[in-house]
Amino acid sequence: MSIVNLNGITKKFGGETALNNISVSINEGEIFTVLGKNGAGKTTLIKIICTLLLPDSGNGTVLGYDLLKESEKIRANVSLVAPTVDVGVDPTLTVEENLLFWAVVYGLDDAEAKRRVKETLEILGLYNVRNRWAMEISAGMRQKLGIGRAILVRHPLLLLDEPTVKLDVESKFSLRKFIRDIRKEFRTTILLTTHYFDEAEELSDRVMILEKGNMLATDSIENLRRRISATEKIEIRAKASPEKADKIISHFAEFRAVYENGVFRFTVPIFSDAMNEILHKFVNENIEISEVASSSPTLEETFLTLTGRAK
Amino acid sequence: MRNFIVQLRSVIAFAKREYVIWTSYKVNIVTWILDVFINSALFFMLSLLMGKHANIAPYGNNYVSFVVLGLSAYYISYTNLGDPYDRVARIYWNGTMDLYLLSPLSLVTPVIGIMYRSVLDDYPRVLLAFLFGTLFFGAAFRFMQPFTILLIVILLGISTFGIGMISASSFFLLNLKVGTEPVKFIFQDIIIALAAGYFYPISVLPYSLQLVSSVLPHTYALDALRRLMIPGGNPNIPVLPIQKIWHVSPIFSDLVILLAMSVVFLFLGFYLYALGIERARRNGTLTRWQ
Repeated sequence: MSIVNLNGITKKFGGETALNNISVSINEGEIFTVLGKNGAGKTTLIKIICTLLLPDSGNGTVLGYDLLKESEKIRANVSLVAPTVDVGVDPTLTVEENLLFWAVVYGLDDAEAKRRVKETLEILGLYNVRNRWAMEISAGMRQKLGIGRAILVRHPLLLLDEPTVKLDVESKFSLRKFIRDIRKEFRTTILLTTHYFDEAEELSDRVMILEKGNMLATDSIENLRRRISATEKIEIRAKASPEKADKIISHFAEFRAVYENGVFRFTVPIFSDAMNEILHKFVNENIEISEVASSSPTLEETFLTLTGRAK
Repeated sequence: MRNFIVQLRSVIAFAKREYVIWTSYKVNIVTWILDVFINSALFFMLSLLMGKHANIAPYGNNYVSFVVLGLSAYYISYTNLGDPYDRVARIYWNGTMDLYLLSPLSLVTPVIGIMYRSVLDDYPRVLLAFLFGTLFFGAAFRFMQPFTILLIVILLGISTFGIGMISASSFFLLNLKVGTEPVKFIFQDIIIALAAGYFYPISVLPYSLQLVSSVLPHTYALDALRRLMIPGGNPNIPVLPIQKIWHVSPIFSDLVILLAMSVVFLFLGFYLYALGIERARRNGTLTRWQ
C-alpha cells in the first residue's frame, strides 16, 4: 500500500526552482531516504508532504488523504522531527513534563499519556533522567526527547529531516538503531532526509537522489549501484600451485580471472552469486585462502556519478 | 465533541505548563509584585494630586477608583491586544509553530494556550491594583449588577483579543517577522494611548478624538464599568457620542456595541490569521525550519 504518492510536484521560490516535477511513491513500512546536498530540495519535499508548504503544481495523496484538499487531516496524522535539536523541548520543564505536555496536545487521554510517556522514556533510554530539567541534559538527549515527542502517538508516517545532524557518533549510532526498531515494532513508514551516505546506506530500503530540485534517481541502493557499474572486483589472496592456479583461471575465464603475486583477481557481475561460486571452487581444489576482498561502488561514488560530480 | 475536548484539554495543558514555567522563576514573582505596586502607586499618587480638580461626573466622585478601573482595563487590553503577535512570533522563532500545526489542534488553540504566560503575568495585576488602591489610596467600589459587570469584562477581553489576533495575523499575512507591527502600533500606541480614557473621561477630549475613541472597546467597557462600580456613578447621563444620538440606557448601548465589536473583531482576527497561515503555506514563510 502506498503511504505517500506524489505526482509532478513543482515548487518555485521567486525564480529559483526548489522542486521540479517530482513524482514518487513511498510504500507502507518502508524507510525511504532522500539524499542530497544542502539546497537540493530535501526539506522542501518534506514540508510539502506534511502540508506545511503548498506546491505550485502537481498533486498527490498522503495516508490516503488528498495533498491539496485534506491538509488538516494529513497534518494531524504525521509526525515530524525537524533538524533543530531542541525544537518542542522546553528547557524549564523536566524531561517527563515535556513529553506529558505533548501527549495532551496530540490528544491522548491522561492514562494513555502517562503510559506512552513512560514507554517512550524507556525506549529512548531517558527514564533515569525523567525528572531532570531539559536544559540540564545533553544535546543528544534533547534530540532523543524531540524524537520521543514525535513517536508518542503512533502515527503511520514519521518524517525525519536530518535527525542525526549535530549528534555525536554514539548518539548517531543509537538513534539509527532506534529508527530501525520503531519501523520493526510499529511498521511505521519513515521518510528520512540526510546528506550522510553511511546513514542512508545503513537504514534505507530505497533512496531518492535529489540535485537542485531534480529527482535523479529513486531505487534501492543495490539497483542504484547497478546503474553506474555492472561489475564488482573480487580479490582472493591464496597460495596455489601453478597447476591449480591455471585451473582456476581457465575455469573462471568469463570473470577475467588472473593470478599475480599470490592474488587471484576476478571481475564479476555486481550482486551476483559469483563470489560463492568462486569460493566453493577454491574449497574443492583445497586451495588455502588467506584474505578475500570485494569492491563495488559505494553509495557516495554512486551519488557522485549520478550527480555528475565523479572525478 | 471529541475534538472540542482535545482543544480544551490542550488549553489546560498549556496553562499548567505556563504556570510551571512562570513559577520556576521565584525572584521574578517578587519583582513582579513590586513592579505592580510601584506602577499602581505612581498613578494613584498622581490621581490623589489631580483628583481634587478632576470632574469625572457622571462616573461618581472618587478619582482613585476611576483610575483603578482605567488601570484594570489597561492591563487586560495590553495583554489581549498586544501579546498575540508576540506569542505567535515566539512560537515561530522557537520552531514549535510547525509542531502545533502538525497536531490535532486548531490554528488558534496554540495562540490561546501560549497566551497564558501573559494572562498569568498581567491579569492578577488587576486584583493587585484593586487591593493597593483600596487599602492605601482610598479607592472605593460598589458592585451593582455583578452579572453585567462580569459580562462587560468578558466582552472587553474578547474584543481586545480579536484585535490582538488581527495584529497577530500580520506576522504571516504581511510577513512581518521583525520590527513594528502596524495594527498593534496603531491601536495600542496611538489610538489607545490617546483616546482610551484610562486616566481621564472621554468627554475632556476634543470631539474629533472622542469619535476616534468610538472604535475602541475600552471606551464602552470603561464607561459602563465606571457607572456601575464607582460610588455616585450615574447610569443614565449620556457621555459618549453614540449615547447622545442613540437614546437608550448608556449601559445598554455600551453592552450592545461591545458585543458587536467582540463578534466582529474576533471573527476578523481568526479569519485573517487563518488567511495568513494559508498565504504563508503558499509562499513558504510558515516555518522557520529551512
